[in-house]
Amino acid sequence: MSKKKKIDEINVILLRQEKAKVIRNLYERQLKLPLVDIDLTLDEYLKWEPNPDEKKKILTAYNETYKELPIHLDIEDRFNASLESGDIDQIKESLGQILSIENIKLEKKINILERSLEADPNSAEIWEIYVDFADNNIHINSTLERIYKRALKTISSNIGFAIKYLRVLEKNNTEPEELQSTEFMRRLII
Amino acid sequence: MDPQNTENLEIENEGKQQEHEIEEEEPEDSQGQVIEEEDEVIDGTYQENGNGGQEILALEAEFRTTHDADLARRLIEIYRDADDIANLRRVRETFLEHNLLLEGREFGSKMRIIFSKEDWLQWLQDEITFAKTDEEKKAMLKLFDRALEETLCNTMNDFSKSKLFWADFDVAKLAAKYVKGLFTNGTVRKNGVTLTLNKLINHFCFDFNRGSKFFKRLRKFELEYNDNPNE
Repeated sequence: MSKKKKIDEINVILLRQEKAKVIRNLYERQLKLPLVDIDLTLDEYLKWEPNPDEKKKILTAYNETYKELPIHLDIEDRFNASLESGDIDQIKESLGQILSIENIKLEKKINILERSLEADPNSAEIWEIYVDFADNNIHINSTLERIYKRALKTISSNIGFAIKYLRVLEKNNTEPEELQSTEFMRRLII
Repeated sequence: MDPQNTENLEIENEGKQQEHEIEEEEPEDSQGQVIEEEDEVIDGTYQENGNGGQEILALEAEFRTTHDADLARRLIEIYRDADDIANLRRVRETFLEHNLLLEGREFGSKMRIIFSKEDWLQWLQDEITFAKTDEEKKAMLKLFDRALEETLCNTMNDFSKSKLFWADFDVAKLAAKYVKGLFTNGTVRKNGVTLTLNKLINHFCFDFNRGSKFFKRLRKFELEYNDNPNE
């Protein structure tokens, strides 16, 4: 075999390995998340993956995620039942319980809050819970700015949201001209 | 244009769907547009449609003062009927800027909603229809980004980059279909698709029921585009 042919063959193998790595990474990212169809994703992965070492590694990740699954199932059951009730007191109660659980990720809690808003985007009560949660748990000013802005867009009469929004804009060094450029800020100023 | 267009997107509530089947991609045409039912063609003036110029001027004047959502939607319907994209954009931008509720309200009560997900889906669908050149089609991806940032609900991710995203799932599905269509007709490269789908993964990956959706879509795309490297 000529040298060039050998190099070509090696390049083909390397390219295939690189492509396999992309797919494997996607499976790995997904299997590290406690999602409803995690078992089926694992089955799909095991059928696809020919490399036993990689299988072992990803199975370990899956097992870790699997341990978290019961708590997520419980959260989903509790949250969905409260949403189905359509009763704001039940929703508030389930949100209070879920948001106080310590060993789940912040992103999951935000997901639950966003899904509450999905059920009713203009609920002042849910926005109050969301803003309160953001105050105590999110420490990135640009993120807070966006949450307050959304809350204020929806519930523009809430002076508490407006003050929080103005404070975070101040921290983010927003120019006064920019501040006054939006209609809802003009209304606030008036 | 048919005001019910958004209903033709076959957007079902997949949030409750728990099956793990390989999903069927909705068809796209050769222009990268999502195929929908044939629009009703209205080739007329505002007058022929019963919306005289005077009436539009009056609506516009009132809208400028009140920024009322119902007025905005009436104007949007008039301009949609006339395929008047410039005025559609102007009214929608103004509507979006002023989408205020004057007061909060009780959970579940029927009050006028702000610029809603349905408004966004209609806007996106209209712009898809009007986007003819590659430039315009690429610009659509920016509009999808805006829509994903503005629409309420679902999950977010990426605190590491100091960003908080929230997005509507139906808008996200439309974005995924659209970018795949752009790839099929050669408007965007593979990286454009993977970038968009990765963004959507980040939007939704913490959603228990829907989190897998865009992982599957991206894997399917990678396998289709690359051939299966393990075969």
